[in-house]
Amino acid sequence: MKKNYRILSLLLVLFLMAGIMTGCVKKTDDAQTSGQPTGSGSTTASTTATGNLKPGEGSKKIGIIMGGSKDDYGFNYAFAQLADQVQKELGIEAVIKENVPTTSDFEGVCEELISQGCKIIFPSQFGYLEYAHNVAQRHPDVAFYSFPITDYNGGNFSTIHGNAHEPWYINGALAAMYSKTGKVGFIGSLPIPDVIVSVDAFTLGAQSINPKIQVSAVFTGSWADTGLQTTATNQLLDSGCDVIAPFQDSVKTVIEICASRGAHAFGCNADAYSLDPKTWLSACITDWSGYIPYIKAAIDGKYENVNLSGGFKEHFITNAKYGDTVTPDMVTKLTEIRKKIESGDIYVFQGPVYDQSGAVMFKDGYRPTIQEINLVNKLVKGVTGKLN
Amino acid sequence: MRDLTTVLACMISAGTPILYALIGDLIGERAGIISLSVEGSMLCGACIGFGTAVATHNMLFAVLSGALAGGLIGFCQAFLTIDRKSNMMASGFVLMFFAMGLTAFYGRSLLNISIGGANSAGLGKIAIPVLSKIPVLGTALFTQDILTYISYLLPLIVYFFIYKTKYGLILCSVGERPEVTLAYGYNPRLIQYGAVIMAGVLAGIGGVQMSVIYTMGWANNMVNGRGFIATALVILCSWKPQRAYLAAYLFGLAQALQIFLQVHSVPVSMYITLMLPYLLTLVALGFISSSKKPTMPEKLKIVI
Repeated sequence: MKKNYRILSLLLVLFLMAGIMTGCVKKTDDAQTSGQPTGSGSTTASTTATGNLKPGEGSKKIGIIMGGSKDDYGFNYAFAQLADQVQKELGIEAVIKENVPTTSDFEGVCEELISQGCKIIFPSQFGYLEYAHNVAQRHPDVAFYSFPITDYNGGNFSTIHGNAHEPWYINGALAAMYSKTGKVGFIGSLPIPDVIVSVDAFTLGAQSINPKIQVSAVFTGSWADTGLQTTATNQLLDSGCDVIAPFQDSVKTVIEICASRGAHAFGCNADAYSLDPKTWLSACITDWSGYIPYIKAAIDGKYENVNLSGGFKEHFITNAKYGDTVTPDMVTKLTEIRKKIESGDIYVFQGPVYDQSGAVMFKDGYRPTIQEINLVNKLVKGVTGKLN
Repeated sequence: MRDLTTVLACMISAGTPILYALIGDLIGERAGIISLSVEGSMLCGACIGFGTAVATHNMLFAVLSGALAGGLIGFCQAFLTIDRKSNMMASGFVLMFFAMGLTAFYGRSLLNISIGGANSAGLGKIAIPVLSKIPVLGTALFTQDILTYISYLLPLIVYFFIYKTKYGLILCSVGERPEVTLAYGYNPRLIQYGAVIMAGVLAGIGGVQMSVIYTMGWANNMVNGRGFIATALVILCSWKPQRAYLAAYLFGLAQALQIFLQVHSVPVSMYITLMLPYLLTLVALGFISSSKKPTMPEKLKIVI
């Protein structure tokens, strides 16, 4: 036995040493790659050469970097749609990099895209932004468009964010029209700001149709644990919900379970109408048509730093195609609500908004700014469920 | 009453894939090899099984192909640990990552395919005539799919195999004293191969159950650590197959409760409920390891 311990401890020491050594190697590696472009003479020459070029000017390709697979019928699928749209409308190539982790690996992938000629980059994940910012500083001639709101905004690093609460409000209204039991389920991933704002907007939208509606929110603590999604969907349906709205990366499981049990489901971030038109209701999706003018301007050399968030009116976000069972009557009503949101007659978080305990979140008639909305960290009255 | 049925049904469906992987790994560990690769076997089984189910709409083919895929990963683990004498933990991990990449690559065309609900043959739930009429338990336990019914019997079968048959004794002897097995006229190497491949096969079937029946879809890395949990649960049930029910369904129950507590707004922090499956496993492990009779196969004591 003693011998074994000795061997084990030896192995452990070796393992630790290996860890330290690879750690060091990586660091120097990083230092080299980050040092080269800023410090060495060759790149100063290239910056002077490109000095009068605006970020993204004359780009022949755009680069999209995503955290998952582009066929996931969710968040990443939406970015694949951007690629299609850019190819169709601007006639330039879009290079997609999939399954890139939210680590410093991002910088390598990004540098590779830039060396291929991509001068406009879309880092899709929140976790990329720190690394994207590093790359943006090294390459002032490359334009970055962040989808998540970030403090890194500035110079060639722009933000265009779609206000998800507007489509989620419409989703809520549709759910309330659908629900016969007066109870709808919401399967959240993690209680992060985007998810909290979405469930709140969803509830407010549902309450605009049926003030007594109950939204039952559960969190699975992960973005794509299909097993937990199944458990959550089954339990919500058993507890009396007949419409399920998932805020998950991949929603196929939820739609399948709802289909097999005769319930209806929303999607998340992507149009999955074709998966099951009868079960499908709608989803909040990014409307890339609002982004195209900015990309075009950047290519034409008219790049300007922007820090935008907009909704239906700005064409940054929209609702996916309605399912087959949504009646024309409902569609007319929903279109009306949408027009009112566009014209400003309806403001999703217009006061009075109360939280779960009944305390006032936004006082009567007050219209919170988008910054205030993004800081919402409570569930509104009418939601059952907890954030912590 | 209805809530109890819901929780029980969710417990069974969440526990079944783990039960398969657990029993598989238990057989392997009785022969002295820990297969962390069951995670990879489950992934491959889930991916290939789902693909086959979509293509053929035949449950039998789906199970067979999933078992084959899981078995192949098991074979790799067997070759690496038995013939190449590599560290079984390391090779298990590497095979898991290998399976993750492989299924992400080959599974991409399956991501947007629907299996068509219970319409396809052999995938639906079958109610057992008399038993399904029992008030609470009937709908939860006896209105299930065919693979779940098989999983009810699996620990029993393995129990009889290990404790009541000659071959079970030989299998265990490999995990305790391989030289005795050799003296007895059997080849321990072959038996180990068989046991580890069997671990992969059963985990693969668990994967099929998970993708085809439980979640009705394939998603990247959908197994999400369930194979590792199964490996840990083998210790929890002290290498005794009859305890597999307890271990697997304890985990299933924890997962069911995790959502149940949230749906019924029980005032417990969400983060506690998310921890629940692991917390329960840890507590149970703590109890088991303090029990007096150690039952760990001798060969494993070298590794753990």
